[in-house]
Amino acid sequence: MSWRRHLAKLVALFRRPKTVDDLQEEILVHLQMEEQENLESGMSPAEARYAALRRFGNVALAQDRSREMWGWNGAETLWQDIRFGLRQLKRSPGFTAVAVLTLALGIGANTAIFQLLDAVRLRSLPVSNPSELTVVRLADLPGRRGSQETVYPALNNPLWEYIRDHQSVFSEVLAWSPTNLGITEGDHERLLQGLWVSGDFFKVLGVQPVIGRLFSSADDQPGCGASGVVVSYAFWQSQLAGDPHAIGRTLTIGRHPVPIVGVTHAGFTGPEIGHSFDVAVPICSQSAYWRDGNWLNSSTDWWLTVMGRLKTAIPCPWRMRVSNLYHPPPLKQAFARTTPPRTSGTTCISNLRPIQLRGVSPGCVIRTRIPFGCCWGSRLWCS
Amino acid sequence: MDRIELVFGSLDMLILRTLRWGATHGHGIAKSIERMSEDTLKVEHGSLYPALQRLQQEGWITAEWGVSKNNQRAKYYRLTALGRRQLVSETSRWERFVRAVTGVLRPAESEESQ
Repeated sequence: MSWRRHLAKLVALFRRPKTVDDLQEEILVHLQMEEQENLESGMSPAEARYAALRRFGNVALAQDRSREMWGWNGAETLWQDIRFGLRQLKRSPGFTAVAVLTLALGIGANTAIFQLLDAVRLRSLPVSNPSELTVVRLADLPGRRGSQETVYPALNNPLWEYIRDHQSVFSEVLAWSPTNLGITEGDHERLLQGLWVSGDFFKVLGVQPVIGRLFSSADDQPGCGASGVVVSYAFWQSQLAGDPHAIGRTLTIGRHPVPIVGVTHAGFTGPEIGHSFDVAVPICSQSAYWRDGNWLNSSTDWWLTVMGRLKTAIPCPWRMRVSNLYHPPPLKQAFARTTPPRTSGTTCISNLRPIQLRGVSPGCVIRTRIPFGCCWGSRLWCS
Repeated sequence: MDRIELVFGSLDMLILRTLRWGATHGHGIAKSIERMSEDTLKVEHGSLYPALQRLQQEGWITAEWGVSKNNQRAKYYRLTALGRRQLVSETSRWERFVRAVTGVLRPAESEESQ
């Protein structure tokens, strides 16, 4: 087929050429002419008509073929099929309802499963270079005493502080823990999604403030009290109406008036994928907000998830003994009284194991992306 | 009379050839082909119409409504300059084809006559 015919058909798609509309009339005229000629040659009227039709051949076929030349038959048939299908559906509403419902449920289920997969497996943390983050956890948990306060691998505060001050494998470290914080507004109180964060938390994750400032290590000093709160972008928008002068306004958290010091940028939803946070407060203020328990000096409250960025890249999968973290004193404390001495002479020392670093496989811990085929096994400890 | 079916593709050429004498309608083209071939060629009138669409798309002919001798409204087809050129090249191709076929067939006769 030449390009001229293609072009003609393309134009015909948008503007139906008159010649096709005229086709029926044209063929009718043709038949009349032939009939007239036959009459003149002395045939009877019926004979003349019949002879003309015979000479012409199949009228409907000729019309169809001519139309096909303009390449519309496919589209016209499709349109007819669609209309036929709709009529059939209208005729049997029961069947239609079942079919539509089945499709709806199927699509819905697929979407739900994908969302789950997306949150757990495909998305990474909304922070800078999430794949560099590494979680610090105890190599061996049996014999550990106290209470686990978070679903994530956790250390206690003395251990965290020891690691922060003595470690040498990370360029930067941070600690955090999810929590609920009660906020008082007038007469009523409600719970917010809160985060305990170490002073460097936002800096290490590369989170920037929209307004105000985020915490620094100066905010996370012993005895800091209820000194300040950082709120999320979503909280700022929904609860503070995006007030540009929100800095310095106070929130009443656990009956303490706490000034807002900053708002995180919109993309940061917290260290847990699938859970957002409203407010973040420094770890050092835990004892101020929670009057019924001071976890800061406790070796038996396991509540802080410690993460860091390694100085050197390490291939996956890996486990690493961190030599300078071997037998850290706070660990001794944490385990010391847990194991009953079996015989005099062997003490609990057998429980002291090095702290291990685990490849990000943040999949589980912080539920960021698991590189497929890499660190896969490390998700075992998340369940 | 024994009529011969058209060779594929030759209908286009016959239509173009017919239109060389001036614009005419579908019926006129059919009659003219029959007359020129002395009723040897069998042209089903209906088969003209798809061919006429195709020739229009190629830009070799144009169509326009007019009035026939008997004061009847009819669509008249007219050869374009492009169509005229096409006819010349088609005709020469056809002649080469006929000459080739004839060349293949003739030796049998000449052998007999020798």
